[in-house]
Amino acid sequence: MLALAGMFQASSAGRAPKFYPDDPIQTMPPPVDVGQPLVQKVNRVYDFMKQSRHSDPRPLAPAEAINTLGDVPDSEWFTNRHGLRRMNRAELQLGPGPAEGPQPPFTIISGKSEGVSDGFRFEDSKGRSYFAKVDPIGFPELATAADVIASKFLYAVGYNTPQNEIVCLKLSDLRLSDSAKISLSRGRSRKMAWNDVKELAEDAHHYSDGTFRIVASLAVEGEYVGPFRYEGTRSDDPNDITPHEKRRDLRGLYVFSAWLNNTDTRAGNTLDAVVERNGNRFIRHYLIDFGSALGSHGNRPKDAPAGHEFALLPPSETIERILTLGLDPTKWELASYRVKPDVGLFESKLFQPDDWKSGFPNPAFLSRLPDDDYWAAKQVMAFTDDDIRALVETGRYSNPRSSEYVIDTLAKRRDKIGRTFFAKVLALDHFRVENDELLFDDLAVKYGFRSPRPYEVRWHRFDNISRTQDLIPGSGSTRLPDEAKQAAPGSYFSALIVALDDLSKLSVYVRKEGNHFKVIGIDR
Amino acid sequence: MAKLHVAAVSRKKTIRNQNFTKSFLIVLIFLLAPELMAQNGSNEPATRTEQIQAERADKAVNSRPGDSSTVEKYFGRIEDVLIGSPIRIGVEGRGPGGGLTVGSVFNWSSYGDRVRSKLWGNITINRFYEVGTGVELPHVGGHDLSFALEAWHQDAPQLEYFGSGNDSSVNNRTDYRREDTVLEFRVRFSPHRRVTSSCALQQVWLNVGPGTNGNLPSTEQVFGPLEAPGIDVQSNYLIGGCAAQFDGTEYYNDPHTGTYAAAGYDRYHAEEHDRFSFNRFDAAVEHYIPFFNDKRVIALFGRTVLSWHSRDQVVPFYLQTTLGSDRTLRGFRRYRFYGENSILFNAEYRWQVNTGFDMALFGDSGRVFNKPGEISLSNPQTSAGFGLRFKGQKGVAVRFDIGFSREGGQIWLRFGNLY
Repeated sequence: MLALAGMFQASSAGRAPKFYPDDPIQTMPPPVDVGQPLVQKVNRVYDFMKQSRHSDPRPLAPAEAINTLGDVPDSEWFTNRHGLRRMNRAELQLGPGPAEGPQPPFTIISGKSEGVSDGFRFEDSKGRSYFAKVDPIGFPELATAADVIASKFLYAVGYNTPQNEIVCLKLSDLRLSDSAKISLSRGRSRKMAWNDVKELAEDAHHYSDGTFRIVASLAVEGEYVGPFRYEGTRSDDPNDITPHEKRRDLRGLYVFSAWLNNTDTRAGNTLDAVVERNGNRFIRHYLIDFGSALGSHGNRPKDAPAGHEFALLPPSETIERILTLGLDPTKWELASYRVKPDVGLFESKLFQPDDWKSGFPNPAFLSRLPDDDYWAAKQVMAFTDDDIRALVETGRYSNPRSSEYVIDTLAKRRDKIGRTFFAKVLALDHFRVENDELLFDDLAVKYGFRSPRPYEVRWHRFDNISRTQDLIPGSGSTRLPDEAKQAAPGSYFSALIVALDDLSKLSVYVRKEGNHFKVIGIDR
Repeated sequence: MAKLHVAAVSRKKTIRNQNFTKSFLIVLIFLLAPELMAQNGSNEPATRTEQIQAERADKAVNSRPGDSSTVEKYFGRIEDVLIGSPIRIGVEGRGPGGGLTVGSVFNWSSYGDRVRSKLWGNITINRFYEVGTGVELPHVGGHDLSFALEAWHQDAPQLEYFGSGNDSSVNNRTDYRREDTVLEFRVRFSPHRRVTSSCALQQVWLNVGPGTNGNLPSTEQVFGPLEAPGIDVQSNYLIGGCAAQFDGTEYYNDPHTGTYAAAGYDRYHAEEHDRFSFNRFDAAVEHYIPFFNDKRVIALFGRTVLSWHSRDQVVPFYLQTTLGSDRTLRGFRRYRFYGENSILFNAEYRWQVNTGFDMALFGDSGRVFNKPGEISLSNPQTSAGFGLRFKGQKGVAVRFDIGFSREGGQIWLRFGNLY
């Protein structure tokens, strides 16, 4: 009997359905309580060295944390926003909110004069805590604009980001808390003095009226428990069940980062925060610090190789460059760039969406597959020129030409992304059944990347338990076959769609629910 | 028999009944298996939501704190020690044979950063050492003016000397000891972030003595007062002067473009022996020519040190300008050429291999000469070589150069601030 029971269990496990009744889910189940997670530390140098050892694509593994349509359900990682429901101009520009920006006077509670760029933390008159960074001297608006614009874009896409905004202030807008401390080099710190505030302000680029710009980043809600990694899972978070390198939202971040040229996408620029809702504590995952987006490298314009190669090259390429004495320049070294102080180095001509590089290898980016890129490209293409304009306006460039240049460059990079990644899969989407016909949009055609093309459609009966398909003879169009129309509710059918020009294909699954059919799955 | 038959039939019936029951049970189990599993196997999710929740429940059972690998933890601890430690290790070129240096700087600043003070010391494996202390008012009159008072003592027991002039022979390699005790008062004014001017007054107590390198003859054994002025008697000095610099380069510690220029004048007043008093003018210019989007740089550097005095005066050999070092003639030994005046040109072609690593080809040319009016580049000493530059966030962290000259090759290694 035990043997039999074991056999049943094995048999039952083998019969797990492909689709559950609630597929496709649009939202992940509510998170379970995380308790008191420890603060996770990611060593910046170790992370760089470890990841730089492996710059090749990772073994092929399909994405997880997706629904049966291949979309990313809403979760504490990602919330479908502009790609699912168009945000209006005000919503795009607002970002995560609140609408009311920091209210002066600003009381500095700590400062930082170490590292690449100076910064400080302050509280506004309403007691809200902000992190502030300034533009480097000689490069007005470079880092602050990039930081705000990229944060608004990534929020509109669906990621959790802090509320970042530009604030222009004078020294007289600042106060100093009695308990403020400033961190210095070599791990030292001391009580902060007004001279420190003046020095921090002096390191900022000033306008002729004496004001200077900061990017004010509102402290995100919750207890901070360190950054998240782009591989593995947090061992102390029961909701974190998908290895991060397999998460479509993190793989797809490659495409958004490439679009925005956000090269500093590393664990150190992420944040996990424990938030509480109705007594339930769970971790929300944030992207932070976008000062290295667009043409900015934080404290200066981007270098020519940024976005084209990792900081550390493979040994063979390193040796080749040594031996050729630098006399065999790369195309980005030869290119003629228009580097403006406020925009930095941001261009669209050399940009290759599928060959863009983050600062150093990111395991989630290296694990991505064409359907991950497709999902992200679909989100990118949802941004119209007007949407881009609305978001770039949040960077508040003084020079309208700079603003126009960034808008134009982002639009061109967007189109390159769509053209590139829609060509790597059969870019059919928005499937629905209307009047017994399967309808869909070819996104490559919709966005003008290719001319309309013919498709062949083959309908199958689909067994949800055994996952086998039987061809329904005579079914060769998008119209549902008679057998499907007459089938009992709960029956499953699939349509194999083949583009007849390049023979790319995908399968769409429908389930009969009452008298109508619901599209429940896509295999790309 | 009948009983037996009946009994036998009855047994057969019983066995048949038992077999039937077994078969029936097996068939029943097979038939009811899905239902049994549905009831018994409440572990099997019925929805996607249940499936996800089950995975979370599994993970919650195995949840454990901490994610960092052991290697990363130890790496972090070592980094913390290196960052937090007041001890610094480097090769900072305190003279030939100085070698590996261990040093420490303790900084302190008052509330408001109105007063800064520091205490420093370092020692090399060949017992060169330096200790010092200082106090600074960095923000007098706003942010543009600073006053500093510093005092230090340094002992370099194995400085090499080959004789004075451009024609000195490497075969006359000797060593001597030089001890300096210095008290300095300095005023610095920075009217613009690219322009700095300063004036300083130094009291220098000097001692020159026999070198401690047992493999070399001591300088006084080979050179007399004519070839090495000041070897017989030394004087303490009062030195006063001013300097100004313009830094038009970008990217501190790793310039790729722009120009840097500095010039200074100092009066060296020998307190005991006026024949060792002199004036000195020191000027340097750097210019960087980038191409290939700043990934190639031609760096040009020129420097001259000119000394003048009355006819009966002379610059003692231990205060003469020198050529031969990791920043001058890189194919020669350090301090290979001594002279009252010098001129030097470096040209360096650098190419970026990757973000943190540059290579360089360089050529150096320079000479020492007796009088300022003899300044020229005729009959220069030359060297050439290649180098590696490892860079961190704040510029070049490690510089490694190999230079070649008619006198052979030299290897130079210098650590910057890795952390």
